Amino acid sequence: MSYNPVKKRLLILFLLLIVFAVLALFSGQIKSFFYNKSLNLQFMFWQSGRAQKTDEAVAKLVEENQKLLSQLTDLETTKKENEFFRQALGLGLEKEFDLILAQATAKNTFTFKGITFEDSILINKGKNDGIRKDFPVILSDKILVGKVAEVYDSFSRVVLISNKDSMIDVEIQDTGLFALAKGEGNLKIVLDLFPKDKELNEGTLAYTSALGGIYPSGLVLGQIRNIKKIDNEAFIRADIEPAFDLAQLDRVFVIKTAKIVND
Amino acid sequence: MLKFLFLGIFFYLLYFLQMSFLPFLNVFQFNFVVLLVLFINIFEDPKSNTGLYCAFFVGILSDIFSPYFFGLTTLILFSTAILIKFILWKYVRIP
Repeated sequence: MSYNPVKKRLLILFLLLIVFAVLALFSGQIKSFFYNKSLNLQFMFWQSGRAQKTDEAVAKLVEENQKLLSQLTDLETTKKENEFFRQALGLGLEKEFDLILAQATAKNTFTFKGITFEDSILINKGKNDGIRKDFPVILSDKILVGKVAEVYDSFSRVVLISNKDSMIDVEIQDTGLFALAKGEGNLKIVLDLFPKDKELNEGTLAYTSALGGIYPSGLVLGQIRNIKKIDNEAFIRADIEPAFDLAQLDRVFVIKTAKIVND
Repeated sequence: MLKFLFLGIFFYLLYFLQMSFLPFLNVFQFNFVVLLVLFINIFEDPKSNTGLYCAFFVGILSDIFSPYFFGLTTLILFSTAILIKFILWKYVRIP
């Protein structure tokens, strides 16, 4: 039998295609297997990265701390009032939602030559812990991080609110008006569909509204920044600065069942 | 075979470093591992296959930890590596 290099290459290509087709069929199990085997390694790197970041942050925090001390007196008063109202109204987070505590272990957000890849993180809880697709993910102080996009046996992928596919109905603080928050990737969110004839101030908070159906109302997205009023556009555009710091992201809560009460 | 195994373990560790450690450093806001694969393919001997193995391993790892279709990243990286090698072999002559 004569040796034909072209035939050999075609055969290798064909075999590779079959292998990838099989891998695609069992991708869920394969991903679960690799994730379980590498969980400890990922966790070790993640903790090391956080510790390194913390050292840098300490110097900055010392400076900020001095400024914040002057505001402490006012905040103490506000805190007492706040605690009083929380007790009175029963607004404890654990009473409002069924929560699952999870640990972030990896994140995928990077830009290469102007192309921004998806904003997402991996958390160490999955199907076995009761997590399902589209469950909202928050921080302890009701700050929205994103929602669960993919669920595997013991881990899940959470797409951040800044992900390009993310669209959230938001309510603007003090105005009672609704708008749309669109993710732009690379931790950027823009505010759209806010009426041009209404007043919008920098620093105003954007909350989730229950209109979208996925997120419960009242979760903080971030503060309004860079307000742009363009003459030939019917709506105001602005940036929303996310309320969470991805570099400091560690433990998150997944809302299992949102008990939304519409008054 | 030993080289194959070594490359696999090396890129396995490097990929986790990229995913879980490097995002905390402000200087590494790009995919360092993919860039490394491209560099290996550009600077190694065009007749060597090491760059192709690297592209394959990194592609597989990216596919495992990405939400996209299994094989997509492997295909893109592997094709890019072949293209780089072809261009270097066909059109680049270093005196």
